[in-house]
Amino acid sequence: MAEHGAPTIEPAGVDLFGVDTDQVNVLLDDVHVVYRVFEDRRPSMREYLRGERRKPREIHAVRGVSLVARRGESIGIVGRNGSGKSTLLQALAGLLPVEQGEVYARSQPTLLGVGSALQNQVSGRRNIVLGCLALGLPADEVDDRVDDIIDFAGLHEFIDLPLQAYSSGMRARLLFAIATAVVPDILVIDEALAVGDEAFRLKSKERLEVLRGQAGTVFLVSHALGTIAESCSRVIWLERGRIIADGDPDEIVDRYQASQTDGR
Amino acid sequence: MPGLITPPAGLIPLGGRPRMRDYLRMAWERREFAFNLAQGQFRTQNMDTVLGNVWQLINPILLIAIYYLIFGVVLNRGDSDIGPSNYIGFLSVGVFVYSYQQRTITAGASAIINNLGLIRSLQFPRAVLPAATMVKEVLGFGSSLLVMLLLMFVTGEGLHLDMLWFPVAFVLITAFAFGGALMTARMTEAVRDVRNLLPFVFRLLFYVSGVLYDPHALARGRPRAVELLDRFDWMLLFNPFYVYVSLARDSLMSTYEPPQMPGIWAASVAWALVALVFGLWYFLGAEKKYGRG
Repeated sequence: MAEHGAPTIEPAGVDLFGVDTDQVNVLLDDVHVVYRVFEDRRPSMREYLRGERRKPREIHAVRGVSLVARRGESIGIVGRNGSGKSTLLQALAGLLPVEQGEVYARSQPTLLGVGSALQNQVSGRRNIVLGCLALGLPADEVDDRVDDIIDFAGLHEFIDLPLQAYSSGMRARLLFAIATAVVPDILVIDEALAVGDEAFRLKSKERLEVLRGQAGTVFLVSHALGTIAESCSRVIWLERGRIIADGDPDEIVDRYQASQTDGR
Repeated sequence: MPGLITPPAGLIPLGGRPRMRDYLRMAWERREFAFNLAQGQFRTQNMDTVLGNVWQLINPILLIAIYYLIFGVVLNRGDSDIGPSNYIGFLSVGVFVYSYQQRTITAGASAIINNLGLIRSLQFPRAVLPAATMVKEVLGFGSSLLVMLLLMFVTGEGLHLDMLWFPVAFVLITAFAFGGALMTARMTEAVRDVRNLLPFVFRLLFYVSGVLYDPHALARGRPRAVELLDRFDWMLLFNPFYVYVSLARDSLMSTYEPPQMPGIWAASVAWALVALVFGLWYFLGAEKKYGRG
């Protein structure tokens, strides 16, 4: 896909000489992620008689990504379906083992994914308390935070209902509010903001700015290119598991958009 | 190529096994979380029944009544010629302590898979989840303890100083069960079928761990059996469930002195340490993988 704009891969990915190392929050060193899955089909009689074992199929989802993320950066990741965005984020959050390479981070990143929920059968309020405690807030501080979180999520009427009664947008709002109640060094957001409405989008954008201001690093995957261009300071374009462009949000989003319409 | 660069100071590699000391510190910082989760589960577990948490008291009483009827009366284990003189006391300590360990270890098997939502949404040391199930079982043991002490009193064990050892014994009993819960948590996460197998494992162990009878009393009157047991009774110490049941009896009962006593204490400490250390090590091996499904 190199014809869509010359690759401008920042060599900074592995070259740390130009970077003040105190400023680095996340470092990806030639990360590869491989999934092994079995095909969901019966082996044919012939394969069976030949004694061919079912072999897992390997899907090389991320193929050698290197990058340095500094404090105060919010990095958007764009790419088509299957380009490895979500996989990269999961590896980044330490949730997927890497096949090769290594992910270094200043602290354990927090991953917000779409469809994640805490405890479905209990109320929003108890979920807030549990979530805050899970993130390591002391109990006496949690009580003070609960109302802030309810405010931010805008869920006053529903807060005592069990989570299963929430819409996906409401869940996403609640989870975002909880996960950002404790300022994480590194926040990784996978499409989780896409389900929120316009009002919440603005609020979450503000909060992301605050996080960045407090020396945090935010990673954001979204198909809403407007959101990316608006709230990111840097954009990475992934194609087939490789970085093909890295740089200014407006420029890369434009080029990505152009490539999408060309391809049709 | 990995390892080409040295990471800047202050960055930690995310893959691989977390350092034990950091991990334990982080888990300890989240003890409130474990308590909160346990309380929630404890409150809601009997919510759909009429009697609610009164079942916590009724359950153990019914259990003892049935075992006493079958083994004490029908099968005559309660006859003091062949069994311990206070069979009800003997039985209740055995059944309560054994089922407490069984419940803790079995609940551990669901600790990870019942909380996938939490795991997928938030980062925290996963060992907090089996710890929460342990706390829940400790809370549940309160009522068993009440019934047990009451029975001790009614059956004439009275109050005695040895009872002060029971808290120590209880810590060891719980430590072993927690170690077991850590192991079943990881095993079940990898292979769900473990959960279906556990009831049978515990049923078998129930019958061979001296819960219902004293193996030494069973052998009495049969010279060959007595001789064998005399020579090989150290092997009983290799069954942790027998060890803990005997330990609890030693501290709670004045009319019954389990054989091989100093060995029981030594084995209790050893088993608790082995289960905890191995359990933690084993559980941590998959720390990063929990919840990926």
